[in-house]
Amino acid sequence: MARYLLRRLLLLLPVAWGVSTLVFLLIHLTPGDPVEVMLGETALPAAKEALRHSLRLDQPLPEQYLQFLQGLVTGDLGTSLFSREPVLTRIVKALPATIELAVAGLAIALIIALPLGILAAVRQDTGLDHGSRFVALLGVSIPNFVLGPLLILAFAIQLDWLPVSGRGGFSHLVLPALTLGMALAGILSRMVRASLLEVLGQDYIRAARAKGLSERQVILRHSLMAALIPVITILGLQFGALLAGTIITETIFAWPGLGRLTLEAIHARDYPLVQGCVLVISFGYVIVNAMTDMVYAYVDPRIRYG
Amino acid sequence: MKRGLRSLGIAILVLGVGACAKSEGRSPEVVTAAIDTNPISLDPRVATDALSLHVIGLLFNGLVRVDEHFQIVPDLAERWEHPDERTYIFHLRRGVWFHHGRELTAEDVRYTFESLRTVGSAHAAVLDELQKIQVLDRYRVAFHLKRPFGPILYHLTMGIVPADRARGESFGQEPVGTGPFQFNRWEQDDRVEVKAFADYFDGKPRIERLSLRVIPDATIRFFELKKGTIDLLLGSLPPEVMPLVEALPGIQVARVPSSNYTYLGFNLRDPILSDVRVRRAIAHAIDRKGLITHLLRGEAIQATGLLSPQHWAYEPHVKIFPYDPEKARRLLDNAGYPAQGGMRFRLTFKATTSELSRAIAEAIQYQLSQVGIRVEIRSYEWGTFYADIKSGNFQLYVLTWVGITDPDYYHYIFHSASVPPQGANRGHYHDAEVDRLLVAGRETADWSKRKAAYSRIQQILAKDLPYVSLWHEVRSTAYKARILGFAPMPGGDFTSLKDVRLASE
Repeated sequence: MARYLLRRLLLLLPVAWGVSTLVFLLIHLTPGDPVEVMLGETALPAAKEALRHSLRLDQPLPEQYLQFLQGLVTGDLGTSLFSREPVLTRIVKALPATIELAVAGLAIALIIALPLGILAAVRQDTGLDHGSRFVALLGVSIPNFVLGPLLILAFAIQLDWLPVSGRGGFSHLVLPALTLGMALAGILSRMVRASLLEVLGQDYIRAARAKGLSERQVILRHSLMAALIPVITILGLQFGALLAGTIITETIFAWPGLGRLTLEAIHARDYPLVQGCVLVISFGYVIVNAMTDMVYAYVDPRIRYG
Repeated sequence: MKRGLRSLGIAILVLGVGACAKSEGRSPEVVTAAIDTNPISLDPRVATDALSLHVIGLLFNGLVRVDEHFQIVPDLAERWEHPDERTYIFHLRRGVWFHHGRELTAEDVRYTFESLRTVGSAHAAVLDELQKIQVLDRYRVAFHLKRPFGPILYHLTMGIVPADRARGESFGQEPVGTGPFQFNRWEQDDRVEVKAFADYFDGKPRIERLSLRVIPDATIRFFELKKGTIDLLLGSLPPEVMPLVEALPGIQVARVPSSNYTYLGFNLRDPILSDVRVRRAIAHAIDRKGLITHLLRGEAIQATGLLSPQHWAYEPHVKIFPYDPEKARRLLDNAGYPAQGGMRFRLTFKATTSELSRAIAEAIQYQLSQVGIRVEIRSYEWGTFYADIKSGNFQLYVLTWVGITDPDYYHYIFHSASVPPQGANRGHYHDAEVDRLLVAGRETADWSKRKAAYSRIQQILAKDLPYVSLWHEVRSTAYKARILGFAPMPGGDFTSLKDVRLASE
């Protein structure tokens, strides 16, 4: 297990290099000039040149790339062009908010998807199944930027139960987490249903039933764990979509997290900050997927890593 | 698995109870305002974005400041002398304290400007105009210029920083100034909090604390206002939301024409558009009043030129080409473009992908079609659009100038030497008299002479039409009725918050 973990972590290195190179190239190829964003339209060419020089943006791209890689190796993500703060400081400030939101979104997705999927499978082709399919479809098809304001209108304005936006206590977390988790809940509940149905049709389940086990025991003890394996895979892969969703959700709910930081950095063409944010997000994605692999071993006794 | 779910449930309950216990109580002396973006830096030497500068305006003072007529008035300098064209001597107010308890001296002024270069400031260009900054005594500082430079005072509105505190890298995150409010805390992307500075030289503000909440989405700003969780909406709202805002009980809206200027730009190197009769015909064909009423819901005033009517150098007596399609058709006939099958010629109109930009383009397309000009709209994402405009690759476009303060901007936009990349004369306008007047306006510090020069420039441009002036949008600020004494500023700054007080509840 430890060796497997080490191998997975080592794999992070080429991924990090690939992602950072891609991000570096993409952001520099995008039209737009940070100096122009900073100084505005009315700045004189001399002022623009001076600033470009002081930010080292006048150096050739390969040189900038080498410096970027050098910094990366020593753990230095550079300094934000605009605020002059170290990129790492800004990311560390924003990260807890995003982790809080993503974990809550994930939890909500599971809380909705597991019971919904199990019920739909157990009561296949009944009204309950159709109802769950409808809920799932709704969750997947409503975009965050529609769902968010609708939830605010209902729960924060009409019912006046929850705050509109901002980060604070638990009450602030409910609506953004629900907005973020709904799409995932839709996908997962369909996944749980399909996977559980497949398992329920297998011989060993028939054997369990023949032994006279109650339906409850058959499902919770013998089928669910096996059915969860593909669900966990999807969960790991969908985590990327969840992180992408935080960009919109955080903007709607004025949530001070990494998604919004990334968006602001892109708007301003703050190269080092964009690179840092994307790097951290992709690391998060890779780590979560490594973690999912490890959860397999727990869920499915047949899988062992050596 | 089951146990796991149960502990998750318990965790949620515990979190929930904890959250209820610390749910925020709003004390009456705190004013909460919504802003639309996170400030980038609160160091006046580093910040360039409008929002940072507005927050900085609460924390810092410059030697001089700009009033609502864009006129230069005293701030930290109570007066100044101008013994010759190249020298300014500023007399500082006495008894001005920094928030950390030290008195402001001439040395701080010198340090602030001399450190522009070392902090890599975007404002460092002003140093190119300066020969030397000389501290004459504790309360007097002289600026020696390399050459006469009229707009210099606008550069001296920048906030003065304390020489003993501003050297660290974190100054932009923990600023110390002389302003009416002192920095309290800044939670990135969430809120900036400032509190009243008891020793402010112009009297302590009447509110104790001010919390500026960052809410990027306009709909959500509206919801927060509706729910009553914010007192003041400093970020803008789309024009179509304004009627809803005004219908909210207990909410007032203050309006002021902003200095932002939206115009239709022509490429004067284009064979069709180089003819002033064609440009005048287009001006006659555009129903600006209709555009303002329908596209901007009345949230704008018609513009006659770059400067808004409140500006000290604004010239009201300029030629106007009112909406008159019949006259437009006659002018086009005379210019040698008779209508053939209802059509005279084609033009392309560049727009961005923003909703408003495309709506404006479509409305102008329709209006010009009424006089026989076929307009083809091409919309691009901002980066491409802007690159095309700068390189002169356009016939028509609509854009907005923001942050116009000194009329010297005319030099940057219309002087024949200011074609890109040297300046923003993107349409390649050229007029010898305008060139001469622009230099005269720049090189004198006599404000009556400057006003005369810029008046004449405004008259010539209104006749020559390198731009068709469209509008100055109106800046609307919504606030609760309990806020008294708030006055919106044309430049969008927050300075009147110092004089705001709360109605006794």
